Amino acid sequence: MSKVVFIVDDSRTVRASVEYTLKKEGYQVEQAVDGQDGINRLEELRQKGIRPGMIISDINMPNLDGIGFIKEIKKSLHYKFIPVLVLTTESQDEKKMEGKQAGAAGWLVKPFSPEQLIGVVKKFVK
Amino acid sequence: MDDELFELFLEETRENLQVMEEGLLDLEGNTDNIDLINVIFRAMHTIKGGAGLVGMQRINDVTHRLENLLDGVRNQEVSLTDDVFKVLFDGTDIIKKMLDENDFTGVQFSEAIDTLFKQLDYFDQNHTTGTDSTVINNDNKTVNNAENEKSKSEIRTFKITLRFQPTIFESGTDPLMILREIQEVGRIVESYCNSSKLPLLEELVTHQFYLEWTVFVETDKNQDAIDEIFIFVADDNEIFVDDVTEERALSVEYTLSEQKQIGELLVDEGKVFKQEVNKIVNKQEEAKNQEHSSTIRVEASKLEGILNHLAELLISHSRVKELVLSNMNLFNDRSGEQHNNTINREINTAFEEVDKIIRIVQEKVMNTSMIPIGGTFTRYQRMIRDLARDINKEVKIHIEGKETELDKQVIEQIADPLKHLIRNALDHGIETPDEREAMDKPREGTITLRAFHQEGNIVIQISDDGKGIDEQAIFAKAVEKQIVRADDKLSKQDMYLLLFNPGFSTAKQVTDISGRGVGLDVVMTNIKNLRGTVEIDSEIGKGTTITIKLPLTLAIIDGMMVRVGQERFIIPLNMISEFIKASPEQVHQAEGNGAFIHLRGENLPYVGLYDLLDLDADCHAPTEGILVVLQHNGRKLALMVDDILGQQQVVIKSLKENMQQQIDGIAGVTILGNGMVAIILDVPTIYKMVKQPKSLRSSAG
Repeated sequence: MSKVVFIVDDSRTVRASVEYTLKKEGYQVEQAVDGQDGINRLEELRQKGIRPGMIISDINMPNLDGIGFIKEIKKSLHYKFIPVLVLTTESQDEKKMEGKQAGAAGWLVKPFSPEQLIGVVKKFVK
Repeated sequence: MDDELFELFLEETRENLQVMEEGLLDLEGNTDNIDLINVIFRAMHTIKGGAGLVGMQRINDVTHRLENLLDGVRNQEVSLTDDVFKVLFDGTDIIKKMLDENDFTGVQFSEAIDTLFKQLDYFDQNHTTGTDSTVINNDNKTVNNAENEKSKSEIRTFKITLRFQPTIFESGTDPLMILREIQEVGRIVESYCNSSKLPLLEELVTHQFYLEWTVFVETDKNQDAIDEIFIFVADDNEIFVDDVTEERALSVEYTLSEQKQIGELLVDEGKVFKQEVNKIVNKQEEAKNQEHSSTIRVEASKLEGILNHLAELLISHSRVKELVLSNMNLFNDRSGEQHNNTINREINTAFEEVDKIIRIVQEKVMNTSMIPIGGTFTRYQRMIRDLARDINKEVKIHIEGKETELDKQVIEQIADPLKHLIRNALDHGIETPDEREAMDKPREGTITLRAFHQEGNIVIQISDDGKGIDEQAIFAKAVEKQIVRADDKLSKQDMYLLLFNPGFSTAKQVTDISGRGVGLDVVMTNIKNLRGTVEIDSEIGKGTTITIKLPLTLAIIDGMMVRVGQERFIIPLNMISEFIKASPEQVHQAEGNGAFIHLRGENLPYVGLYDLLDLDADCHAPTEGILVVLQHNGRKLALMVDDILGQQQVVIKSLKENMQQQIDGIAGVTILGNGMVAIILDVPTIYKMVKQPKSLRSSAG
């Protein structure tokens, strides 16, 4: 199982904190700044033979938002079976549901503690 | 890193504040521009998320409120009036100032923030998204914590039913992960997989999921903690978590009083599947078999008597058979009449029938003296626990093959040697908890007791995950004690077996457990008396496994009768892998007088039985006689005999009663049908004899 986690978020702070937290746990973290960049970066990784064990994606992003990003990657057999976790603020149930309908496996409410992040990632990537 | 992350947040937030400011200014002149609203909203949203991550609650609060307002604007619930713009600009300014002044808790700006919030309250009343869910969340958490505290020490049983959608994999969720998580939350008491929905292989879609699971888990956590596992899958899949603590207790009592089959009851109530019940019933049967099934108590001596007489019956039977057949042949030779063939055939069939019946009776009688080894293992379990406590070691005992049956006599005779070996594993194998921790091993060591049947043998294994055996240290010690010479070439296995040499002990200090002066050589003697063998497998730092192989019964074996000169020998059938007639090309001379036989890419050591036991024989060269390929502990050996006479069940008569010591190469004798005595060969010692120089051999014999 791949120990690579792919984070898509337009906030540098979020990306950096995810990378920092997960690296300590032995994960390799790859980043993208929005949905469109996410699709491009995934393709680049695929060329290099890297398949993320899971994807964490923000919902609210420029260019292509999280929901669009998930819908797009779920069309591809390469990425279809990679679990996607959406980042939502508070407990926006509609966002959760929107994410789930697009094909997300789960969600994480911002702000999250390192423990929460690790706990959720471990649900999918061990 | 926290500082770094913090700096990153400040930098990013300043950029986003600028984005907001510019966006708001543009928006003032272009209030319908939804893209602009989105840009502003995102910037605010990013600040909020970052503030939460770096723990700046005040900024998080302010941005949260502003975001709510913007959300209202976005959803066209709030129109962009000048008041709205003022509030948005004010909010942006406040955050900016907090950053500029490095006042992240907003002490200096509490008045401004209060004013801002009051203004925001006004807008919140006009649309619905204003509820501050953060606060509610926090409250929930407090309640949950309190509940956790309350029910912590209480062990509850949950029945978890998992019916996933066939398409579960498409969401990236792996049901196995969820099962593992259940495992982590408590102890799984029982689990069943219902595979009835699994289609035929040809109809199977590899990325679909067909299995249903029922898991009973015992845990000190509350239901919320269990539900938490399924947080992402509960909505789309059929997941049921039921607290069945009371029911389980009740249903057992209830069924006991009603004397009903619990399984039927559960099926009736639709609580379990029929196949689950069958599985449990089988398990129970297994458990029952382990118990001393003492319906009738028979003195052991009586059973032994029956077995002995049965042995005599076997001998007499083969004697009668041989006499009748030879008499018949004599008669045939004289008359040569055709009709005798019919009688011959009938006599043969009758003998076969008797053979079969005797075998069945023998098996039944032998079975009566077979008992499961479980009881003995359980006693050791207790012993290990107590001893481990005495010497401050932490050990867990794992038992496999409890239900394996052994002759009662064998169990009695193997009990002491086993005890010795287990004590050794505990004393010399398992390290102290601190040592183990230093080596990245769990503090608690594991000793595994295992019993199973293999190729007509009973195998008993004692494994530990301790420090392992350093065979070189043993060899050095053996050299020091003059048991072997320094230039002797020994295999790893042989070095290990030096441990069983009389008076050998590498323990640095004598402890109460395994240093009582009784050496492992006694263990070896006991096992040998049972016609058993010992094998050691060890890896330094990983642990040791001692494998004891014992014959199924003591008295009767299946053997192959062979001839050398005028002597007849029995070789236990389970030691023979094949017979070959060697061609000259297969024979290769080794150094000295030795030879080996090339057989399908393998080189087998060769020895003539006549040479080994100093007999007069018809055949002397490897190509003349028949080669019996022996197999023992994975090693093969070609043993030459003059002829093969046939398969026979023989009753072993120990030589020990009549002789002072066990003789190498000979396991015992048996009386043949014609009243002659045949020697039963002891294959393991034959291997040893082959390795010894001939001079040494005769002195040992």
